[in-house]
Amino acid sequence: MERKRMRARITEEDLRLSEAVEPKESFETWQKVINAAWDMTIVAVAYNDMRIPLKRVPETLDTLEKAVSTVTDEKTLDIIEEELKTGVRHFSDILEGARDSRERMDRILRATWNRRVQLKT
Amino acid sequence: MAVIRASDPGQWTNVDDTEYEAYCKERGIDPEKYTTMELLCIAAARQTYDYSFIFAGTGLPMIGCMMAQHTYAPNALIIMEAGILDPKLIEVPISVSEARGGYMCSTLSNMADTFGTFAQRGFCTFGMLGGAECDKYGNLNSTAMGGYYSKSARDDGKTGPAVRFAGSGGANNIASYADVGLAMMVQEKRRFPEVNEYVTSVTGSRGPLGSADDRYHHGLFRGSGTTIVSDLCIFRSSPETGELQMAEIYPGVEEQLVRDNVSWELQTAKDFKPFDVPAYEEIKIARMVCDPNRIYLGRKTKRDLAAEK
Amino acid sequence: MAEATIPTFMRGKDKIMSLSDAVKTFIKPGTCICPGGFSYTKKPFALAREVIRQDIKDLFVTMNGGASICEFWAAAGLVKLLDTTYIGLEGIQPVAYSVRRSIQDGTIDVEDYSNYGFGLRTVAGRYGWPFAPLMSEFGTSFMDHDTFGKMGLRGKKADGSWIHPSIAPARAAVIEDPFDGWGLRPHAFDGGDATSNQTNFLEQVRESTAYTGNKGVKCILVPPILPEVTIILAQRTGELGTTRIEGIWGPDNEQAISAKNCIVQVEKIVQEEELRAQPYSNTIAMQYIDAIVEVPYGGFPGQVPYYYDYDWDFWRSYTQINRKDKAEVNTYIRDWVMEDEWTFLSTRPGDGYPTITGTSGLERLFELRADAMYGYKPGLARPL
Repeated sequence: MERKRMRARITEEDLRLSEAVEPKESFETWQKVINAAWDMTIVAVAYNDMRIPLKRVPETLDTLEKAVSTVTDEKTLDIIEEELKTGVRHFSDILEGARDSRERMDRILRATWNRRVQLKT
Repeated sequence: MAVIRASDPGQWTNVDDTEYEAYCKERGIDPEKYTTMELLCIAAARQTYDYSFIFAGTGLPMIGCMMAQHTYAPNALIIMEAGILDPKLIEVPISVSEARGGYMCSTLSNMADTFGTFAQRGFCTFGMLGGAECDKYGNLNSTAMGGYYSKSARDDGKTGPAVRFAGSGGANNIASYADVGLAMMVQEKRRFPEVNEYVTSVTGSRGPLGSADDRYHHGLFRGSGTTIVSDLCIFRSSPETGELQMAEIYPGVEEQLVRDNVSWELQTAKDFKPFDVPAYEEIKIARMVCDPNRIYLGRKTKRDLAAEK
Repeated sequence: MAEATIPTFMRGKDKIMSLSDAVKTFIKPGTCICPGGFSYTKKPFALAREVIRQDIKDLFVTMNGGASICEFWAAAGLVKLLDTTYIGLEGIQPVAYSVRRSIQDGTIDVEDYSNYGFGLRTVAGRYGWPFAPLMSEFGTSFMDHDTFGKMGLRGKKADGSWIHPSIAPARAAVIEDPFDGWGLRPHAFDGGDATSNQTNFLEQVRESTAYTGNKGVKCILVPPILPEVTIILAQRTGELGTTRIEGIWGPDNEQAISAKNCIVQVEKIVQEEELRAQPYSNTIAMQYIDAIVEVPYGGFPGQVPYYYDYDWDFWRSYTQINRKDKAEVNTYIRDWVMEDEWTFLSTRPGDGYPTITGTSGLERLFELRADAMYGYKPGLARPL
C-alpha cells in the first residue's frame, strides 16, 4: 500500500502541514534516549577508525609470540615486556569500558522487554 | 563590556612550597633569588592580560607564554605557528611544532592555516617574539648583519653577510598582525642600534609616528606599538612619537647602564616606574611549572657570565 | 593518448619502493627539493640521510619549518640554493651552524620570506593558483632585497623559457586592493567585529602612497612554490598512497601537494581500507604520493607524535659537533649516516654522545617511545 502511494503523484493533500501534536512521550525521556544514542555513536565512529588495526593486532601478536623463542638478547625481552605492559594498560581500559557499557545494554534490553509486557497488560 | 586585566594570584597555578624548597635545595639555587632568564620570563608574563590571544614565536617566548598562562593570563589563548591553538602546556616545548606544544590544544592544523585563521583573521592580541637587533622604533632584525646578501648576489667582494641569523620564521607576520608587539631580548649596545640595517619584523611604529615612514603608511593596518622586555629594563613605544622609551627599570639596575646600552638618546616614558621585584610566587611557578629542567631558565647572558667572573 | 604510459602517481602498489630506489629515482643533482616536517617533528630524516649516502649535490632547497634537515645537508656540502624563512634549530641552537657558516662563506645563496609569506606560497602551490595575497612583510627589508633576482635567476631567457624553472619571475609584487580593505578584520560590522584584535588603522593605510605611488590599501602577492620533489614523513600511508598525518601537520599537506613528485617516508604501510574507513582524518590524497618508503623509526633523531620522542641528548651534543671545523663536520656527518638505514638505526642511536642510561641502537630507540595519550614522552630528561 505504502509503495503504491509513494509511486503516485504528490497531491496538494500530501503537502498540507498538520496541527501541533500532543507528544506521547515526555521531552525528558526523549533527551535521555538521544543522549545515549549519541554517546554510543561517538564510540562507534571512533571504533570504525580502529576496526581494521584492531583485527590486525592479534595476527601481529601471534607473530611476535613465535619470535619470542628466538630472542637472543635479554634486553630485547625487556623491551617486549615494556611494550606489552603498555598495550595491556590501554587494551584493558578499552575492554573495561566496552564490558561496562555492554552489561548495561543487556540490562536495558531486558528492561525494555519488561516494560513492553507491562504496557500490554 | 567587562574590563579585563591581569588575573589575581588566587587564580595562579598552585605549587607546594615544601616541594619547591626541596627542588631548590637539590639544585643548589636560592628559592627567593631570581636569575636574568627568570626575570625576563616573569617580566614578559606581566605584560600580558587575561582573555587575550598570545601568538608566541620560538625561543624565549615559549616560556614567556607558558608563564603567562600559569599566572597573569590563565584564560589567555596561546597560538603557535606550526598549527597549534590553545594548548595546555605541562612541559615547555623547544619548538613551536612539537607534541609538547600541541597537548590538549583546541585545534591542530598547519602553518599557513594558523597564520590565516588566527593572525590575519583577527585573533592576535600579543605577538611574543625574540630578536637579535632592535632599533629606536622597535624594528627587529633577526636576519643578518654586515650586508644581507650571500656571495653570488653581492658586489663588495665579501663571501656573505658578516653574521647570519635565523631569519624571520613567523616573527615578521606575528609583529605585523599583533595589536601589541612583545619582544624578549638581551640588551647590548650593538644589538640596540639607532637604525637597523635590515628590518625583519616591524613590532613598533617603524618610523616616527604620523610620518610617511610609520607602519600604517607602509600598509600595515594593525598594531599599536611595542613592549621590549630586555634584561635591564622594559621599553615601550611612545604613544606620541613611536620612539622606544624606558618605561620600567629592574631592581638594582642603574638608569645609566640602560642608556649606555642603546645607541640613541633614550627618553624616559611619562609613566616611568620601577619594576616590582619578582615575587616568590612568580619565581616558584617559573621554576616548578614552566621549566623544571631549566632548558631556558638555566641559560646565562654575557652580562651574567661577566658578573660571575 | 591511449598508448600513454601510466603516470607515477597512478602506479598503485608499485609506489612502494626501497629507500635507496626512491631517492635515486626522484632526487638528482640540482633538484629543487622541499623537505617537510617542522624542526624536530616529523622530519623525514631517513630520506635526508639517504640523500647524503648517495651524495646528491647542488640541491636547491625550498622549505618552511625549521632547518634540521637542511643543517645535515649543509654539513655534507650538498646545498647550493636555499629559498626559506628560518634557518634555526629553535630551542636547541638559535641558528643552525652549518647553514649559517655556508651562507657566510659563500657556499649557499639564500632568499628569505616570512613564514606566512612562504605558507601562502605553499597554499598557492597546492591550489594551482598564480599567486596568493599577503598583508604582512610591509615596511620591511623583504620588500627591497631579492637574492635570486640579483643573481639573475628570475625571468625568461631569450628563447622564452624560464631562466630557472623553479624560481618565479619575481620575488613578490604589490597591488592596490581592489576592495579597498573591505574584507580585513576587524570589519565594520554593526556594533563592531567579534575578533580579539582591537587595533584597526585602515584609515591611515588608505592615505598611504607606499609601493605604488597611489593612495590606498595595498596587498602583496607572492608566487607559488613549485618544488620538483617534496619529502615528508607520515605515520601511516595506504598501499596506494592515501596518507594520514597524526599530530601537527606543519607545512606538509600544502608542500606535498605543491610538488611535482612527493616521496612519503612512513612508520607503517597499511591497507587503504584502514585509512578510508575514516577518510576525513586523512591528510593527503593518493595521487599526490609518487613513492612510499616504509622506515619505522626513520624519523630519529626527531619526534614522530604518538610514536616516539626526539633524542634530546643527540641534539645537545650535535650543536657542539657542528661548530667544529667545516671539513671535520662534513666527515662526521658522512660517517654518521653509515651505509644503510638499518645499520644506522641499530648503531647510531645513543652512539657518540652521552646519555643518562648509556643505551644504544634499538634499545635507545625504544627508550624514546612516546605515550600515546600525550603524543610525546612525558618526563623525558632534557638536561641543558
